[in-house]
Amino acid sequence: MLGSDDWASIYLSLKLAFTSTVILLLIAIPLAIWLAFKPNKFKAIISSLVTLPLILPPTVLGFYLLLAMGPHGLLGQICLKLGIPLLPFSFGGLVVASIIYSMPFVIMPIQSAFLAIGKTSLEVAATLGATPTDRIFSVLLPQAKIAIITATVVGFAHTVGEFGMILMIGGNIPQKTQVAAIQIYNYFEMYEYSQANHLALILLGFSFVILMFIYILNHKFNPLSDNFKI
Amino acid sequence: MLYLNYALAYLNLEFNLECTGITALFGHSGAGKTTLLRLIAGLEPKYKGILKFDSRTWQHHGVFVPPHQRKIGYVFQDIQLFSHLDVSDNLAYAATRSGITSAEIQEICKKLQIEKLIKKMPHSLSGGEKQRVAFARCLCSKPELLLLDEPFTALEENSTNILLDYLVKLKIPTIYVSHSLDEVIKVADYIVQLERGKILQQGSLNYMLPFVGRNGFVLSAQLLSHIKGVSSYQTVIGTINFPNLNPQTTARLFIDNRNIQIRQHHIPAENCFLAIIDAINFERQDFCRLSLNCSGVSVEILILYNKLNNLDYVTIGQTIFLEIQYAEVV
Repeated sequence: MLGSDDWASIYLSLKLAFTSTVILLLIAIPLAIWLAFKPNKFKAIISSLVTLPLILPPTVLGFYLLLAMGPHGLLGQICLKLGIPLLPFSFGGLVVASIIYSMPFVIMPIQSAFLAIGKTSLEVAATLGATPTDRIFSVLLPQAKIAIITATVVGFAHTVGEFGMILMIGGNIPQKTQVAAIQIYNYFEMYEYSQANHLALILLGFSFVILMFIYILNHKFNPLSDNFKI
Repeated sequence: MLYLNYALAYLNLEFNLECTGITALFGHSGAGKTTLLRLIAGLEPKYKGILKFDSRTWQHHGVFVPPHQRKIGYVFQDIQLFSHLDVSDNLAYAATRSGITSAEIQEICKKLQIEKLIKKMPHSLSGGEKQRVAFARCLCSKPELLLLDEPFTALEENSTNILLDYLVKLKIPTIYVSHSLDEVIKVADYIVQLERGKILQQGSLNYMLPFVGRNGFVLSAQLLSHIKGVSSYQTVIGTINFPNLNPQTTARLFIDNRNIQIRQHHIPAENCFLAIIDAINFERQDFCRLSLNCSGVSVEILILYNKLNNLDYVTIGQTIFLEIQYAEVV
């Protein structure tokens, strides 16, 4: 059965995933609007940077983030100037790392949905008297609802499943940075396969439920899904 | 009054438009019709130019009034209903921002025959129904200027007729882009002909018809009677009677120049009307244009130059008689 450390690691995983996802959405939605609708010569650079974690090994990203968060890095210098503790091996550090690592999984479906909706919908809203902010909240976000929910769920699940990056940035500190994925690794290293299995089954079940939720959601809200037959 | 002055790479325009009735922008694909509508709507803020509507400046030097403050209604070529809202909410979207009453919304729905569609989602509507809803939504925004970009492309005849009939009855200045000359003849009061981003010519419907490929003129008409297959229409130049004329309470009659006989003297026949020759202009090598005043109505007729030579009484200021041998309801 699960012990108190196991429950603590699950709680920490969920807390990290929740915090990261909320901040991610606040960053990803405006960024996706900018990438989808505003012509800009830096668009290719920004898009590449945002999607870099998709193909980069977590250790590479973790290594450079660790350097950036250290006392001589840019983020570390900012923390020191603001008088706040350095980010490595802290929950804050995990949140920053998770946001960067999960960014492409959140921004890509949202950006694709915005591109599919197109700017004509927003132009129609403008001619009907809607201000720019009004257009975003009354037309763009409701029409991209499914993509935003999908991105939220994927971002959350992806953060829960993180391992390599968490290990590099947060280490393996019980109650502080020891998330469920790392706890499973600990049990594996200590040959406690039964404990590892219990925790792994919970993550497996969680991942399955998340994916099923996304597919049901897409099927239910896609008006053409019942009509389309091959 | 709409004043517009843009000097862009592919659109070089400066013109004044009375903007009282329906103005048709007519021209081939790529002539700049849609760009012109988008400039008027404020959807191309990156282009510099001057745009004034009535007493308001919409664009000039540092001034740019955004589209949501222009009080325009724009029906786009590709119908864009909000897919997350049903028909009633699509209409409410415009109505809540313009402040029109529910009675006014109901009136618009009734006129456009969309009352039964009110709870339907856009994806379950036909093309014609979607376009009528888009048109109704546009009217719910209480526009002071209507911009229509080929709104009837690929619509079934019934929907097109409902929309065209309603459009004629509206008292909102309208700028209307169309490829279809039949539609233009049916609704337009004024035509602006565009080609490669420039205005070729502009003028009243009857002045412009020969330029856009229809040698004839149009008369607004009221049905007086329809007895034994003969329709009698009251027009500004007099009563026109023809068998097999489609009876409509209000209509426009198109009279092709080939169905007009110019006579020096009145003949005791139906459909013969007095006209004064205002001008004679040589249009092309073999044609000349007669500008006539027919009971106050300007009528332009293209006739063969050879034919004119045989009509020695056709001189400026001369009174002649037009015998209309056939008319069609458009």
